Amino acid sequence: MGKDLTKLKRIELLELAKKRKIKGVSILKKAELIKILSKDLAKKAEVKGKIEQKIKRDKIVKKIKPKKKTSKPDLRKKKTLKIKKIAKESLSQELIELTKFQAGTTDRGEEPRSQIGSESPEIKHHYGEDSLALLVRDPWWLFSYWEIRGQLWEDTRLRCGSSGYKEVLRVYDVTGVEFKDSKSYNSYFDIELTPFIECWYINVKDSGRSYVAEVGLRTDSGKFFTIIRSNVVVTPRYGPSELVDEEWMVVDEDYWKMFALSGGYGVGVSSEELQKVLKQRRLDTISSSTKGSLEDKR
Amino acid sequence: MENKGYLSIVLHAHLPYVRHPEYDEFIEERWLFEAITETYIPLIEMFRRLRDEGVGFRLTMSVTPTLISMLRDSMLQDRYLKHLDKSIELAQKELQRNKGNFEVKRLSEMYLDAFRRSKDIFLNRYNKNILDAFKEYQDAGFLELITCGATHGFMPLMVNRESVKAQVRVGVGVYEEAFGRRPEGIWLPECGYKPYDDEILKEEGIKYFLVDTHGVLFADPRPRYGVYSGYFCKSGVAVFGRDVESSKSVWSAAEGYPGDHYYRDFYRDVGFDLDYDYVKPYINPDGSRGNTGMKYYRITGETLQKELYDPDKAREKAAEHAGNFMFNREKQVEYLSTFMDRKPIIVAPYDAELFGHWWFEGPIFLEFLIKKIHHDQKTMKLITPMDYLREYPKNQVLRPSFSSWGYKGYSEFWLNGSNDWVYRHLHKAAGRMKVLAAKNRGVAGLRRRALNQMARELLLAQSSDWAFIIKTATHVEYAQKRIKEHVFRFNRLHEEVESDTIDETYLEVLERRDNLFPNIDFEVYIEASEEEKI
Repeated sequence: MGKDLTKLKRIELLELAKKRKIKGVSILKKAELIKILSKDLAKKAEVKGKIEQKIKRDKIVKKIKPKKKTSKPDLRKKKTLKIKKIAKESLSQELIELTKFQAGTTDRGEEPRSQIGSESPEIKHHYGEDSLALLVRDPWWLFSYWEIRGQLWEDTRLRCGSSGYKEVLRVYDVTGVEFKDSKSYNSYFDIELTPFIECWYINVKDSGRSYVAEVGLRTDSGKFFTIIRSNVVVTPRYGPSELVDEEWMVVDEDYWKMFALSGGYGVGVSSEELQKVLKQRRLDTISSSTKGSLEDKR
Repeated sequence: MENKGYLSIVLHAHLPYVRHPEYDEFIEERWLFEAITETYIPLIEMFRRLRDEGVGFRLTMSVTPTLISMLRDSMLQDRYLKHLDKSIELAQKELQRNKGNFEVKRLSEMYLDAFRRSKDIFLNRYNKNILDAFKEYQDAGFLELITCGATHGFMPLMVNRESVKAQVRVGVGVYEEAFGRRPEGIWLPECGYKPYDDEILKEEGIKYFLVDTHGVLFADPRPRYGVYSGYFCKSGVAVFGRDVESSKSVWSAAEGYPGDHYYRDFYRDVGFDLDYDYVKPYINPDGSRGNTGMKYYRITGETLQKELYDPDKAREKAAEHAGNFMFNREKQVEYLSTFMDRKPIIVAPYDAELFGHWWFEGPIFLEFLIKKIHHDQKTMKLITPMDYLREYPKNQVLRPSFSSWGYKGYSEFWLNGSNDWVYRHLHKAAGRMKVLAAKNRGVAGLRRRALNQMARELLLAQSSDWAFIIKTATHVEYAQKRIKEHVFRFNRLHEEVESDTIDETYLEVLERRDNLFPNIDFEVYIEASEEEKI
């Protein structure tokens, strides 16, 4: 590098330390910073190889991880267009909330030193057990994460016996059924797993449904061997209920009026526009999942 | 003439637990200091003025258990005073520096005056504990204070019921300690609701909670009055939905009042603008530039050439906006009342820190609004959700929809590529806590202390703020570190309790550091069905 550290400002030194991932420096004086940094730079040559390897590994994982696979991308697109009318598309609330946490110019970029000598804040990713969890992110997306020990993989491979198989995440729609032994379900779809991946965002077609997931092996002949099963989740239904409360006599007209006034179509829709939107909205609803149900009630 | 409807303003005051005794000063502790000076004290001053002027009002305010814990912590109280003294010192220097420039000088004076008043209120009037102020105005019938999840954990992403129960029960307990009575309402962290969580609220004696608009609109069956009435869940707990319009007029960056060009600019702070050596004693402890609270410019527009702030003009604007807000709500109420067979309630929830901290004129806006509502119109009245339930004890029963008030209305902000790794750890810890709690019912001594500390660490790790901060990419490393630290401490204690090798020295260090909720009882994590057997 050959940089003369003494010529840098303290802030710049801090910045450099941050880049070099040296922790606990923010309270140091300039001279101390220079000392630590020059030591670190000298050490750099030695460990360079190692670090590069690590970074490479990290990069590979990062590359694959955030990819959100969807089984039916076309459908999803359509849904997104539809929600735009009502869902908060703007981040302005979050941006304002964020200012609560803006004490400094930028990210502190440095971690407070722990004074419990032996304590390391790094936590293990694995717990040495087998588990699969399913979480609801929104009406169309689930999130799952799992940990499966090598032994269990091995056992299942033996059980399945076949040489041709794929590791898959199978997602069952179990709305209205009691899910027992992978046989009672409405439908399912598979997501082929990429090695080393241990979490996945799952796109589901319809809102307001129940799901359960399994990781397992699917043989080329189509047989499925369960490795592990998740909890059951229910996604929220996106859109107004089909249930009408008789005690409260919610007649259709009143309901849609209140729905609109409550911001159901977005803010600032005038009453003229309202009729149009309302009509469109009904058509939208009909053309998607709840076939015909609104039409009937009119 | 009788009023035709109601407006319910709900302020959510919250900060995550940040307290670092291991350092003399700590950047993130400034979140609290800034919020006290810029939001909590201005609100308290407003309550006092309104009361003294005989203006009746009803406001709802949540003060979260973590915030309560910080506000009554003597170390943080003393640190705040020190911070305030420094602010006063800087303001005095600024007064000197600007003595030749009347326009700037009067701004320095404005800040000096505000800092001094803060000190007087904080120290002389409330003896360093401003929770007493909130209690005072609640007891006097102006405020309705509600509680929140213990550490603001996002409940829709909790997989076991006991985690939700612990958040609620500890939240209720902390409230009771601070305000001398039990809370009637709760602000679900991030307004995050998942079906059946209301049953837990019921068990803990909560009478109502708030959800975002779609939480009510998409409820089963169809709600009779949109978001303009309270409803009951099957459990008997009431729910209120957020009004979109009143929310947007304040929250929205584009259309919201806070973006007005005459309002003070949040980002232009002398901590960034002035000579480094001059401001150094007042910025971040590590020497990086940061906020001092003294800001001289107005938003001006989409330009870097900011113009000087004019407090009189800004005040006029705040009055104008308050008038506009009131007018719109009146219209809303009038219109709604034409086809509702009961008086509508408009529920307008906001982050408390929005008022004063982000939107400097926010507290004046509120004060104008409250006065105008009191003096200038008869259409609507201020009300709290509980008041409304007393007036309308019979309500439609429905099941609210899974929802939050965050981006896109569900869990995405707290569950995405940047922060999804935390859940496997949180869930694991919650599961372990539940198992250990059942196994160790009634234990005493060191073991009990260790288990109680585990409960604290788990709760601290669950704060939704960490995931929020990671997603927004400020203070990311701090937030990551906090989650990892609490999970690490939890896991280490878990191991020690399991193997019966509790290290008392280590435990003591943790008890001193993560010292909130002194009266916590880990047995809250025992499964409900098990609990009944006692």
